[in-house]
Amino acid sequence: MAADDKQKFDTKAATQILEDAVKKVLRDATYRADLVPEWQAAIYQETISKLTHTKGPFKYIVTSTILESVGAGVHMTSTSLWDAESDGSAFYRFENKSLIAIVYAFGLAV
Amino acid sequence: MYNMSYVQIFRPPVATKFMQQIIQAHLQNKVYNAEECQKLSKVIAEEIKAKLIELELGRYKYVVNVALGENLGNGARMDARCHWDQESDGSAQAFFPN
Repeated sequence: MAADDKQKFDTKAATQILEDAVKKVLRDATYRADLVPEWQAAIYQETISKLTHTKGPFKYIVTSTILESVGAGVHMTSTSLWDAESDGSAFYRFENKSLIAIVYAFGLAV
Repeated sequence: MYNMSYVQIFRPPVATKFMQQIIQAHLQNKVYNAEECQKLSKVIAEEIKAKLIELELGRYKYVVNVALGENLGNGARMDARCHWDQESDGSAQAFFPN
């Protein structure tokens, strides 16, 4: 397989997809523990369908963390073993008065 | 397409076990401290990745995510959804509260 056949994960496009999805789902949301799974499912639905339509073929992992905003500190780290020429990640962080949402997308070339 | 019959498959319970051990060992009696936890989350992630590499499942790529949060009783939920090959790919999770 020639080197230029390898698609590189498009971080910019993925970040935009995550941003659009999160803003759509959480735009006016107030944190409610019972709604969190629904919100996360909606985010996945929006993001995975759009991601699979971008250049490929990639396998995708989308992670979402939704936290109630009470001034608590949080750190998220990600480390990977992958092919640096083709694989990549994107993330988007959303915050409003009552909640914080951090969404990651990882694309791994098949 | 690869012939999967001779390749070892990733087994989530194996990963969950050592992930739980690693986070417990690091966080057992810790109190949240912003600076320390930033370093700690990286250390934990790298240790887990090193253990995964030790499994010697040559064909696999790995992604390790660590979220370390201050426990103020606030609601929190971390979840993942994946688009992959169900026969070969998998995920494992470990959780430690104090």
